[in-house]
Amino acid sequence: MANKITVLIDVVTDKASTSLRNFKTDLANTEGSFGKLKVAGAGAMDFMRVHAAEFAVGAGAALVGFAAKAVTEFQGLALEAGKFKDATGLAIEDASRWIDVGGGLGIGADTIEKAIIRMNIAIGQGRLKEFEADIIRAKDGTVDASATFENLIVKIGAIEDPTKRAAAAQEAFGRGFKDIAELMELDAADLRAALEGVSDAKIIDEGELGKAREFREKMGELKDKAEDLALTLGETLLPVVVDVADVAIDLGEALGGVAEVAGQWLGDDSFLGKAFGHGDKDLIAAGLSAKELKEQLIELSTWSDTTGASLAASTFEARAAGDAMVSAEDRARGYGAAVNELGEEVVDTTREFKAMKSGVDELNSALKKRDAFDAWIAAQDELKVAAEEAWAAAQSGAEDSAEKQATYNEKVRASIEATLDYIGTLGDIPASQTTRVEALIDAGKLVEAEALLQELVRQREARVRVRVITPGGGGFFDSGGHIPAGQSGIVAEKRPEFVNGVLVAGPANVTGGAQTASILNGAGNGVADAIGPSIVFAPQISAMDASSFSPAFIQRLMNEFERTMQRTGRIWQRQG
Amino acid sequence: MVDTFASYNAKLTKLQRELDGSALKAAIDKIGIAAKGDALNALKSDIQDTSMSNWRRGRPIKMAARYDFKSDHEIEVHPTKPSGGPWKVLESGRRAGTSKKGRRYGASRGKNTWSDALAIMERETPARVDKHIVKAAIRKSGV
Repeated sequence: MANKITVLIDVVTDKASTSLRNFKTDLANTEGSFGKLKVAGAGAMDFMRVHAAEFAVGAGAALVGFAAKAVTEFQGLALEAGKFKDATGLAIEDASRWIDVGGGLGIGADTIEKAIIRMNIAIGQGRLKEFEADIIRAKDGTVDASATFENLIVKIGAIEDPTKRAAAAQEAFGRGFKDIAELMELDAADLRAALEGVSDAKIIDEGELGKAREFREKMGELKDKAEDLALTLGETLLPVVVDVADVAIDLGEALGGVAEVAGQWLGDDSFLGKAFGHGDKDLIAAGLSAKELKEQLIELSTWSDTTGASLAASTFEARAAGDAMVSAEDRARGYGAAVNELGEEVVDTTREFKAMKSGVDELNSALKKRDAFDAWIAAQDELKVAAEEAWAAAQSGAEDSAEKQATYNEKVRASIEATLDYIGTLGDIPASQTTRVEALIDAGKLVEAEALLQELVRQREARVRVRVITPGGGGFFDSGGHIPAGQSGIVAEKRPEFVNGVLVAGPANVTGGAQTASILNGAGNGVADAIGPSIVFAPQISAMDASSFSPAFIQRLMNEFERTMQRTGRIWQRQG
Repeated sequence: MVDTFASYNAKLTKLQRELDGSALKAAIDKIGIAAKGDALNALKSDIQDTSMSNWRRGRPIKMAARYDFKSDHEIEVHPTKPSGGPWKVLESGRRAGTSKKGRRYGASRGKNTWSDALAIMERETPARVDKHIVKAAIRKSGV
């Protein structure tokens, strides 16, 4: 540890930031347009390497932009020299030299131009008699403005008396002479050297001036063409926009379809399947529209490539075309983004459909249980009616008694099968077991079938609750009791019972099985007469045996189901 | 947007400004604040809180670090003045002795707490420089 508890963090000289320091230093030490780029490329290579991604876009763009910039600068210089030439009467080459020399001293071309114009006026007005020897004329008497300007600058600049020098300068170059004072500081040799030292690249000749002016004209034409191109692109892209709108509309309809489906789904369960099918069609429609849009965009891209290639034939036109293509590309990207957005909408919608399908499947599963449950209820209702009819017919000795008993037996069987079906929806009862139950039923072993069924139900812990199904709602009377008026009851379901009055329909008093047996054991024939009708029904006990499984079994199921419904509020809940 | 050399150089100039003077100082502020946090984290790691309750009766010493600019590109991180002593003891320990007020104190073994803080700073600072200075400058300059 250091003696002093302190740490110095230096973001520039720390080793962690060496590249930053190098870059920063090099950047600060360079000047000029190209110098800094050179630094970015070489002076801090490690910095650039680390941040290559950040620089890549900018540097690439700069290189692309350079060509255009160079053209523009050339054009600017040439046109300025041309304007200078036109205003002063200088040759274009001389004008270029004066512009460059003046620029090097911070004197604008306009300033030199005005000075030469005023000099020409002064010569024309004969105000420069004292410098007549310095005025260079051609054989035809015309003044060589460039040579004269050069001479006068040197001559006047050499006047030692500042007052006289200022007066002469004002006379020759006007009141703005002070703006070219730096030029007058040069002696003849320096000025000549400066004028001759102008690089050839900066000396514009008549041919280059012509090209620059032609370039300007072409640029004007290109501007018009660019506008035409923009209009053409607009015309081409318009259908794409319309298609995008169509897709949006399709998607909206698809979503409307979803809403409709949802409405039907909630309103009436029986429409679920159809509604879901309708939604699928809308989805497909939206997908097809998106596909068509994509194809049109590809077509547009191909068209753009072709257009770009033809425009690239001309250097100038290529630039305009490039800009236009960038614009078109931007627009295409915009539409691409719109398509992507729509695609995402479709994906979302599909996801919603999948979620809905999952819900539908779940509900279907529940409904299957519900259907089985309803079938079971119906079977019990039919069983009740058949039981009442069979017992009534038997009691009255009706001719169709045997037929009704057969019907009753069928209903008992149907009831058991319905019970089997329903139980099958509640759990994973093996097919072998249900087959076994059915085999027992076929063999007429209904008691065994019921026992097995109950066993299966216990194993599955089926949670069901159904309403009590007993003939007439009066119940069973093995223990005896009273059947109220308007109801019916089952007697002799296990053993013979005495009934005072009608056997099935109430009101009636029932003597329980045990008491009846006692009576029969100790009673004489007179009693037997009294209970004759019950004894007559003894052969029907087998049928009653079949139904006897149902009430107790059903009651247990009912209780379980009711508890489950109260607890969960759901039709079905998987247990365990 | 397509850059010309002129516009790109303008961005580089802006980048240069971001790496210098007040802009750089503002960025270093964030590094200093983070370094203070490093010191407190090292402290919590060793003594579970940020005060030395038994150093001074009734008035626990609040342990903290601060930073000062040494130049526009340097900061010095060090303990706050009241907590300088405790920091030293936590770093190097001390022998048993008697305070100026005659209170006896026992020996303790140093926990190298400040060294731990320095280790954290050394580990974290390069990434912070990159985030708060380099990347921020590039983002702001548009290079």
